[in-house]
Amino acid sequence: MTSNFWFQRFFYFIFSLLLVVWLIVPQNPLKQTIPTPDFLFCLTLAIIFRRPNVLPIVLIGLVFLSTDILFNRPIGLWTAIVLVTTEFARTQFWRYNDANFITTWLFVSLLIVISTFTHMIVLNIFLISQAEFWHYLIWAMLTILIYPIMFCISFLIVGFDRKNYYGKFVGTSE
Amino acid sequence: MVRNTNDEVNNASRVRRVLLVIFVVFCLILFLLWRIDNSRAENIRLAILDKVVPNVSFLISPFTVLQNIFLDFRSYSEIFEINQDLTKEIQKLKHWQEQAIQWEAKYAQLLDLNNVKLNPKLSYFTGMVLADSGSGFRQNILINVGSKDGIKNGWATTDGLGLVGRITGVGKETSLVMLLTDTSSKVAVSIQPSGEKAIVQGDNTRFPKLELIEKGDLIKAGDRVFTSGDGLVFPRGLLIGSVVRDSNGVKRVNLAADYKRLTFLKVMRMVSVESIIESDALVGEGSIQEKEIFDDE
Repeated sequence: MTSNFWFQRFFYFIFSLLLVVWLIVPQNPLKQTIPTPDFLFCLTLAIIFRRPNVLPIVLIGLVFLSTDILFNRPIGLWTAIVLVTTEFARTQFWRYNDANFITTWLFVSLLIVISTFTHMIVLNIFLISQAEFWHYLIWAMLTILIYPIMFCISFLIVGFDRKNYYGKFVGTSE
Repeated sequence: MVRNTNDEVNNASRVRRVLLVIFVVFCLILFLLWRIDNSRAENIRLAILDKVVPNVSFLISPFTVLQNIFLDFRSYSEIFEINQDLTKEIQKLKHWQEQAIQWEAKYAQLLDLNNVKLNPKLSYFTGMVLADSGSGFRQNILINVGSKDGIKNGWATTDGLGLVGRITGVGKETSLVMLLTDTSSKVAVSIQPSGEKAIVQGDNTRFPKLELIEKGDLIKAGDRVFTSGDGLVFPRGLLIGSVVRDSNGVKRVNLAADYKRLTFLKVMRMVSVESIIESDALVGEGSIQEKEIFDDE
């Protein structure tokens, strides 16, 4: 079980590395017309809703901190928001363990919207204007729309197993 | 037994919570430091990029190859139309080429008559694009020339045709170029043929806005936008693009540089910036001279 976890963590790390590299490839046609959605945030949320105990805080923190540096974002802010959001998602996991996909998706959308606008508001408080309101709106919507794709990809990382993991997570499975 | 595991779980979650708080506070401190001492933080970021990106370029290359195959495939499907368009264009261009040759001769003659000395220090380096910024909120790219090649902050970069942006950070072997589409990018321009001054302000779209225009009615769609050299950031007379109007009637610039395919960038060496500062009179006369030069064009 534990070695399995390490494999899944390793896959998550490799996959995020590939995603980041793909995003910084010059002439990426995606970026020309639309703001790039945050694939990694979506993927992390998708994994957390399927296996809340796979991704440790330190791994998420390091991955997002390095993307902050690579993507020329304000260093640290988005990482902090993502950490708090994912931790909150972890505590809410039990509600959505048996829920269907659409319900989870709605909840994820809410999380994405809240974290996006927290990001925007904090940046505005610190007088760092990066984009207009509608830009953030489109960005949040795109991130919500790619959630199903990232949900499918999360199967690659944490497998198809549909056991009740809530019991194991909280330790009351008997 | 159950109690026992519960305690363990509680302990584990307590450890996790402490870890979370530590990590979040650490991130927020990083953010504050970044905000307070922005230039130093950006230098550190650039030093990291300088170390990392050239080393992972072997990872980037398969993606680039795939991307190119995809782009090539797309262009194959359009090849017939492109061919026809090109034939038409060649016809037009031949005419212009003829004109240009004549004008070049005439220009040289006039320069000779006026005894004008061209600025010999405006030379350039060519760099290759290493990486884009991965997020939609910053518009910058990393190129593979840096302080080793003598690049300095603030120099203009073009793709050979139009202005692309300016150097905002220099590492040893890489440097960061802020594109004109970035929200922090503001460039003083003059719009020809009317000679109106304005500022090109990026807003994360492909078409940056034209702002602070004095007499808007003098500007028509299709007018050409050049750097004005005001503010001494860019040399004067670099082509930026042409004026377009969006559906709300806001004037924007259609960039001349091909932002879709930025591969090679020219970094313009600027040395003689200081000499202009001394004489205020020169700035005042600038617009008149400029007008004459561009009228000639």
